Amino acid sequence: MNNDLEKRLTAYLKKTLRGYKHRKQEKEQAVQEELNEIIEQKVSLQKYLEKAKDELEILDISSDCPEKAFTNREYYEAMKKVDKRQKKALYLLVVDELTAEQVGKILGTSASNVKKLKEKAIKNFKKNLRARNGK
Amino acid sequence: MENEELEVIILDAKDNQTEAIERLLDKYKSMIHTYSFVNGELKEELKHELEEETINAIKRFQI
Repeated sequence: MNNDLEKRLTAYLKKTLRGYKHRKQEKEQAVQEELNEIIEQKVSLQKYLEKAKDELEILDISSDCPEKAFTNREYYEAMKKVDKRQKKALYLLVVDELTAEQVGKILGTSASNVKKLKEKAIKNFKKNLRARNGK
Repeated sequence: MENEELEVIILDAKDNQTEAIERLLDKYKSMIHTYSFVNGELKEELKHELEEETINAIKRFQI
């Protein structure tokens, strides 16, 4: 009986300290899991924003970059590789509906040359598309 | 340490007497030290918290 109080206190402190440590570790683990989740969400958001940025760039269409009119990635890449002058002629003729003469004035060339540029643009676009598809 | 002596020290610690608190912390320092390890590494912050928790536990302890 002499050491009864000491035994009780020791057992009580052991239980208390073990419990405290356990709760602290559980809390830290929960915080870590929450942090991981936040990081994961941040990565997903970044990917989403990058994709959205790409799509917005594609929508920024002009005669210098008519490929941006394509939402299909294959068509976009195929048109992107076409010579700048050729695709500009194509764009002004087809999208802006200008005459070959009007386009010629813009590009500083003849109407017949504008038509050739348009044909070359179409030909190269198809060629690039076939190359992408491995045909 | 006999029951009576320990009882006095506990009561003094409950009464916030520094010397009594220090004696009890010294008595249980090896236990506190043991619980201060996480994955084989001594965590000083945890050790400090366990010391505080020991003091609080002693104050809650019913004789």
